[in-house]
Amino acid sequence: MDKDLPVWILEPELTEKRDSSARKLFEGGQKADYLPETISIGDTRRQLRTLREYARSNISVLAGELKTNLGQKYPQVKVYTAADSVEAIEYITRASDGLNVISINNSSIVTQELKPGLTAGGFTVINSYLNEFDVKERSIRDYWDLPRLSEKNLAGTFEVSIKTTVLDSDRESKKYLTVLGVNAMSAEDCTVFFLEHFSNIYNDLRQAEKVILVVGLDKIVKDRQDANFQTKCMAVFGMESALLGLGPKPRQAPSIDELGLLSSDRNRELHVILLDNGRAGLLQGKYKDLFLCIGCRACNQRCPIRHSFTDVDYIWSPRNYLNQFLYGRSHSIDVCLHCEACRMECPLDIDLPHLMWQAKMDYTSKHGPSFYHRILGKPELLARLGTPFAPLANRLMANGLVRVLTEKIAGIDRKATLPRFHSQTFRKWFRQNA
Amino acid sequence: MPENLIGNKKAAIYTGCFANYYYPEVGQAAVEVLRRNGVQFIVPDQVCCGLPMIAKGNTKGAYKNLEYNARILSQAVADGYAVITTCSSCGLMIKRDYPLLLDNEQTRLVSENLYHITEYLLKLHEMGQLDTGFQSLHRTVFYHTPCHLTAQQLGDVSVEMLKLVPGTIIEHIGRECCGMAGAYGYEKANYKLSREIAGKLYSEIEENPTDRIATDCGGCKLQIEAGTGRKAEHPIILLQESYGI
Repeated sequence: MDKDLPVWILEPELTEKRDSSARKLFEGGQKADYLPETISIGDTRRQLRTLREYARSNISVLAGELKTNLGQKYPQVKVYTAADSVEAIEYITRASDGLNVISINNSSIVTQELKPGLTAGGFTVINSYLNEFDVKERSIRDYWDLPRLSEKNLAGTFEVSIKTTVLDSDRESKKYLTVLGVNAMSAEDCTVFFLEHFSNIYNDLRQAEKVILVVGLDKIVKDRQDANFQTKCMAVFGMESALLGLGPKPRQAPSIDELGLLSSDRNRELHVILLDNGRAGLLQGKYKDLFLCIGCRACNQRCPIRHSFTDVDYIWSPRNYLNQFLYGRSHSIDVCLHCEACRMECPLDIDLPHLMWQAKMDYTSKHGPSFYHRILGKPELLARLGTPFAPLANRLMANGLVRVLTEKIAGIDRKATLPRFHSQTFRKWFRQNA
Repeated sequence: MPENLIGNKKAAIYTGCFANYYYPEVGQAAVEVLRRNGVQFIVPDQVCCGLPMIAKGNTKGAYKNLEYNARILSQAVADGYAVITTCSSCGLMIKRDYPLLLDNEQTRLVSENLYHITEYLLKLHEMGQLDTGFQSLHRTVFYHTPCHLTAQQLGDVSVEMLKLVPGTIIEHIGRECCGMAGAYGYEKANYKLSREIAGKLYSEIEENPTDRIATDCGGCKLQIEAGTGRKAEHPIILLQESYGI
């Protein structure tokens, strides 16, 4: 019999079981009798940057190598290359062969890219992560409550705890598909890497009749060592963001177990979809640094608006917000405050604020600014208009009717406190006094 | 070109819109403090840094301003002047974004020689060139760190500067975003969200009563004042007072 594709899963905590993984996450896995190895965050970031730059520069070679190796070493795996999400969804629909329930992993960008199309195609899409997510109360509300774990020798806290395969599972399979976005894949030996905080991915790998692994082109790295390191970095740098997400969540759908799906009497299948969906295009242009992203969502950690976007149909992070915009799934990039906290948290130093500006400039060069921004985009002109008539302008801006008008014309909220004009500007004063 | 222009004690003041049109006392205080320290200064012709223009989609206008400022300020640098600003957002734009938006010798030169006012004064202090004849004022201060100062890796410069003044106790340092982000917080579309973000800062201020509130950013100042009813001042104003000028 042919060898079965190796799947390695990293989980929090090395020595204990996961029954209290939320608590372990909270404590960062640090216990008196288990202190992780000392690492330098700076060295880790540099090593990660080198790894990602290599992957970015060699993506077509790596993707070709992965396909060849999959074909030669694991012929029982069905491999498909999808140019975009439409092709991937068509492939999944064909592969489903009558199955209509799909279990996905939560935060993987590729599954987020495919989820809307799968739902629209009539599949019942279940987020198994949320179903395992049984956190009764929120202990960490915001980033200032965080213990700054990444600075506390956290690297040893996540290890490969499961080395498994898919097709020779010992568990009885059920009539559903699982579509799982992998966190890294080795081109050299095809080892698949996942990060999981609970046990949802492992369960789906073992019991879904058809397992479809989706590999974004950016997830293909040189070898197993790199894939392991990248996944570990995703865990370490994304941990605090994961902690921020820990809290009671409404149940969105029944779990696979609750659905009472029938046992499957067919052979299990393993598919691998290599998904481009705009990734290769990123390499050519201004947004090529997005290809370096490992999806850890550290950028989300100190984002001031992260609380306000829990109801969007994708997993919110500044990077994902930009992605939505770049792929035309949203038409505004204006909600970003440009505080630049995301840039400072990113382990790869991806300059998200600048890329947001770039996206904004690209968009307005085609479509022009919004109606309100035509006025607000000329701040100095507004200041110059008000200055010569400062006392009058200030009185007018305090008038309720005028504020209603400025709200209608310029989109300035009538309740907002505005700065006051001065007849003598600094530069005028300077000319007269210096 | 010397490694840096601090030692020349020559400064070109870039005021930015807020200090020029809405808070002229800040520019005036900067002038007085520089004069007290024997710094020769000029206020070159200048326009809005362009940051709020890019934010509101006026790319063409922003580039026009960027080129204008880069030309004038790079000439000042070539004449031996360090560029100083009191505004953390203009500073970030000129220091970080100018070369990213337009990579040429002028933008690089200005970027490399731009200093936040308190950063500049601290550097003077390191060189033993700062007048430390401050009066002791016995006051407690709540300092709010603007995101755009943190983004320049200068989050602590104003606090360090204020600590040089005898009797000034920095009671609390707020580090969370105030939610204002220039005109963002005025906009009807963002007003509610902006005030929600400011909630954490407002409670911090309430929990840490002090004599004075200080912040380097005009937007943060407005947001603090709108939510607390208290006055928030630029650290350079407190320094001016400390000199008794």
